[in-house]
Amino acid sequence: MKKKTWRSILKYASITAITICFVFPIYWMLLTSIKPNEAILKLPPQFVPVTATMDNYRGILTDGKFLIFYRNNVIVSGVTTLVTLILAVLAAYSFSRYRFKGSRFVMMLFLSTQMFPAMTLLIALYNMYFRLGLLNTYTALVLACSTNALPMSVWILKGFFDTISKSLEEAAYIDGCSKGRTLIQVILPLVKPGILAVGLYSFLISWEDFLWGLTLVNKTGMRTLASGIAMTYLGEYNYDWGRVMAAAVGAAVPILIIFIFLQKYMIAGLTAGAVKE
Amino acid sequence: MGTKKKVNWFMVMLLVPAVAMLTVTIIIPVFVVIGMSFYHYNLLDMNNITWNNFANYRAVFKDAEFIRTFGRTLIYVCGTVVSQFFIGLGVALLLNSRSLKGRKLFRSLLFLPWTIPSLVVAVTWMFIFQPQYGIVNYLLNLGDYSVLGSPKTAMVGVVISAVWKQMPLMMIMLLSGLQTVPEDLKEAAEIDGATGLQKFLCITVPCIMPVVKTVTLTSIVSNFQMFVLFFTMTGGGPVRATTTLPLYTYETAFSGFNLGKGAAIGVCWLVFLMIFSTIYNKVLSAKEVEY
Repeated sequence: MKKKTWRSILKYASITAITICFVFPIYWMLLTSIKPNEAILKLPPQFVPVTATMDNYRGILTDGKFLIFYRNNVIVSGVTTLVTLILAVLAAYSFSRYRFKGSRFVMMLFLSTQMFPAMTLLIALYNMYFRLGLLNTYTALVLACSTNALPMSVWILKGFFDTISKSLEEAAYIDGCSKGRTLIQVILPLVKPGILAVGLYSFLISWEDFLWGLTLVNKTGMRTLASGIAMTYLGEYNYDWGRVMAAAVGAAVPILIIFIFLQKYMIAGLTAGAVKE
Repeated sequence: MGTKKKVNWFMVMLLVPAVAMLTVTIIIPVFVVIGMSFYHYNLLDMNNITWNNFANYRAVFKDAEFIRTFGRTLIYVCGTVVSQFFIGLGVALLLNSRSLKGRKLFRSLLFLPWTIPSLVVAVTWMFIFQPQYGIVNYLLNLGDYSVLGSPKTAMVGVVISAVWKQMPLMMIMLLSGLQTVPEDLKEAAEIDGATGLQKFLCITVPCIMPVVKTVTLTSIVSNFQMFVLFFTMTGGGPVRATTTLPLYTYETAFSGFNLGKGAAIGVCWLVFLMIFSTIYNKVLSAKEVEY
């Protein structure tokens, strides 16, 4: 009996310690963003807010750059999500329902493209976009980000389509429903969780993007959040940490909120890809 | 040739958009980059392209820095993947035990770092490791020693921030793997008098092997590509102590303006990853069990 209580104490102690270690940096980021500058540079550090200020947020909101980065990021991520969803739904449905010679090969090819180092592709893409005049455009960023998200999205959605019985379509065809209408009106409503999971996944991937935003864009007005923050607020020696942290919180908040409300779908999407087969 | 079948145009139409997209943004670029690696290709003079008789590849293999960079990349990848795997597995096992109350809350809290964008991860940890008023120096009493500014510890700093961001995904994947382990098998083993460790090694491990294979391979491949943390936190320094493959490729191609050599490095990297993942898949597949 005694051995059991010790074991369970140990369990709770270790899981609590690990959780604190993993949550603390987020707390620290939030806290720093509302500290006045004197408090940030103080030793010993203040672990609870003593004086809270919104100055850092006011600072980044009025500097005429942060909001531009934000707008660009919302546009790129939004369009990327839409494009990825449309392409992934169509391709995944096809992979799930039709077998043809080499369909497995095409599917594997799809998945293996994830392995190609982005940096290697970047050299070619930079060259191609330069010649096509696509540098500094949303199109370039959306294309690059959708490519990152597409292979996994197809794989996740295929899993969801696979769970739906084929008899549904057969019944719809007998009723005189066309193939396209069957997909849209009969099948799609049944894979709503999958669509949500894939939408969240591709939004996250494009919201995160740093590499493409850094290289395919070189005008401040076209920068997205991650590369914009790195190029604007991180100077050579002196950092205004309060503002950097406020910008960081601003970049992290949308995903945090999405996660808090929709974590079930997000996790379902992520694990579906790995656990199936 | 085989049986004659009507082409299923509906199926073709469904596939065309996605295939076209990946062709334009991945398949063609791969061929373009292979092509570029054989030419003299300068970023500042992109219209003057000449065949240079494998000079790019010769330059890469003669460059001692390339080998060192490769070594550092391996150290980073191994450090990050191994630590997050063991932390992730430990946490997943804890979260999978039925007697633990509040499992959902712990799981949600532990998953939070994964939702933080990589750049934000980088700046947050830079602040935590800040030499004068950073929290790590204060707690460990390091004075104004700069963790990220010293060749000996810079890599450790980056690995810690990478593990912080990536462990949650590893944990959630392993947890979902653990939940597929059939309960009755464990019970049967218990009746036969198996110890906890025996149950873990003989039942749990073989059952989660496919998941382990997928998550570790994905993690290795994606960490080979880690760019944002190095670029932001250390810029590859101090004295190149954290210059890994992506950064080296980037520097060569974009700061050094040598797109040709950058392409050659990229091609070597691609070839290495393809060979590696084929072998990795073969080796680990041998240990899988099917139910």
